[in-house]
Amino acid sequence: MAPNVATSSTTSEAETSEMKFDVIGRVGLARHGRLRLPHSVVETPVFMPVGTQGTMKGVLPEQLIDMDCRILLCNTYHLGHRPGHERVRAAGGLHKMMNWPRSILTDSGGFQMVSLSKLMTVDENGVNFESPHTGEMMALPPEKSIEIQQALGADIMMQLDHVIHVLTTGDIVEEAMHRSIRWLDRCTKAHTRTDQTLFPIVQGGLNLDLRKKCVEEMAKRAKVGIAIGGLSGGEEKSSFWRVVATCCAVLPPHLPRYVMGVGFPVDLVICSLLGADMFDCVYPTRTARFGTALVRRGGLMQLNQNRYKTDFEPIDDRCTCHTCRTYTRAYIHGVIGKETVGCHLVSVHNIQHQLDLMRDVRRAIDEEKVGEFLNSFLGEQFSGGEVPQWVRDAVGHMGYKLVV
Amino acid sequence: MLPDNSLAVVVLSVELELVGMNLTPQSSGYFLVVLSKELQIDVRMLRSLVNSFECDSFETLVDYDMPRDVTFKKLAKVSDRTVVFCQQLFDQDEVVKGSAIFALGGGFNAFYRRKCSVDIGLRKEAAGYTVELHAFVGSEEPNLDEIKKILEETFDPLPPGKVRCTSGPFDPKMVKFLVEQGLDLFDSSYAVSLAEKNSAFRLADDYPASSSFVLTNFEDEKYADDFTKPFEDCSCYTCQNYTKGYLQHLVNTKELLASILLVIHNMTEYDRMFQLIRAALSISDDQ
Repeated sequence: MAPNVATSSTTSEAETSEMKFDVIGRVGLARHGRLRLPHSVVETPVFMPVGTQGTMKGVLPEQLIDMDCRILLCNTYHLGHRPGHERVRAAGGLHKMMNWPRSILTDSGGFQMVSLSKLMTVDENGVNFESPHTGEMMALPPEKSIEIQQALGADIMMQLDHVIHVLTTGDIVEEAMHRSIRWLDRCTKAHTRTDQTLFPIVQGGLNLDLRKKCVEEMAKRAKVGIAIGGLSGGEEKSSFWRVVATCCAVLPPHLPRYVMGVGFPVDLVICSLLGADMFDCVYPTRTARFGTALVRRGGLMQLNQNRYKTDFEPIDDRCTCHTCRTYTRAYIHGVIGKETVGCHLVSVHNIQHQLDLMRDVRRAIDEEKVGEFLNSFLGEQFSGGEVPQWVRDAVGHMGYKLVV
Repeated sequence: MLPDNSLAVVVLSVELELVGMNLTPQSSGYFLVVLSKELQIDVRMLRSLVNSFECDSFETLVDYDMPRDVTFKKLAKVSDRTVVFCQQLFDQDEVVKGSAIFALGGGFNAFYRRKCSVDIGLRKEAAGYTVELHAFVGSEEPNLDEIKKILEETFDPLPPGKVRCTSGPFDPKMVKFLVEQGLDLFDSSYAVSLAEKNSAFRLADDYPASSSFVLTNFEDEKYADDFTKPFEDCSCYTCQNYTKGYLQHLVNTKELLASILLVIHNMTEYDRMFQLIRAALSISDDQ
């Protein structure tokens, strides 16, 4: 296959064409795809940094563009509360308000309700929760989630789904799955804007048969793309990768597959090679706040450790991010925890790390060198340690030979 | 990392203000600067500190422990300490690298202000001066006559051709006044401290003819629904790309970007203020 790696993503080009997804390269289960959205062309597999409140932790939009970031995730629950979706609409939508010309994905708001609200119940109408801010009981039916997301105006909206804890078992798993399908239909009915697309979310817990059943129903209804939800909630890694593998195997190839809440570098690589296309996680910016940099060699670098006090190397001498081109480990060690610039510098590096990792996966697919890439990635990531068994299992499942 | 063509100055006093400072003699004969229990430096360490920073210039130290109600006895003692510390800094074999900006003090006392200038300001090492004015920073109604008198006494004995600096968050009104008293160089702390208070400032159209300016505090919820530019005719990055409503949102959610955008605006405006002041001075020069 002749790879054709697009490097430009002009807005005008994207706006004149409808939203669609093309697979432009394929090796094994993995795909290099191109997702056209109203505000940018997104090369997949892609990592989407999370700008919860409509800003990326002190990183300017221009800096994200310099990193070749094409799509961000913003949280509906937070923005619906502050500044409020009506205000965002009045500001001209999220893109205009936050000065971000490229694509945005918003979640449904349901997940945060489950994780942030003390009192939360779900019935057929929707999610009912106690606002942690005002204390009053509020309802979020699927129609409301879409109304809010349409006011925010992201390129990709997510359906409201019935989220249950990933380790839940019994009939409720199947009930939640069926309810999520009914809610998808209600979301679709409420969805009126033509410049936004709506992703269904495949549920079904860790039950592979339920997942397959759900994929069948959801895929029929999906237009541009689809998500695999309900993971990254503390399940065993051996179950996690099998769910991803099972869903990807039965999903039709024309839909990009978004695995929600996945962000550890090794998870990104394994899921990409299993055929997943989109990911998001707060991990790179959250871990930066504690002075931890993501690195290919060894995985993590805790810059607050004393050994970096007189270390005048960049975080990673192969990294091309602004932080690595400009500052030393010793400088970051000196400012971390004292000056906001410390967290900022590590955030820039960590976001770039994730974007570069995905670029390297796409390149390995283009050059048909996935096996070589996988071995060199795992060799570096787990240098001095063991490659975890679940990774070995997943690699075996895909038929790659591991020499590390 | 600083751009290649920028100058850097080592200033120790910024930290000193936070932890308190006085220069106390010790048995070695060297004065000791007490920064905190953990961190104490004497004149030898200061020299090596300045040299290892490799900056273009550095400020000398001044004992500013001279409150308004200080006794005459203490005033004399504190004044002597600054002089001796300065002597110890330069009258040694080891050279301090970079241009010395002499810190001049004297508290509220006109005589000791003049004495400080005479005692240390006339030294040949002085490339410029920085006048210690921390007691006048942040007061709502500073006594301008008092500051004027202090500065007259400070500058009178000094050669006119050397740069005169001061540091601290001075608002546009104070900056104009201090420039009129003969000060040349200020720091950016006003722009930053204002941003830390979630505020931005804008000079009046006729600045510096009038010294007025407006303050906008984005904590105020009245900006939440206002999606106009922060300042309509400002060309800074923040005003060109964001709205009052978005800044209010960032302040309200305590996002890091709030202070970044406000610092960008305030720095741009503080810079513009000095351009206006310089332009006004060159016009009055021509006439």
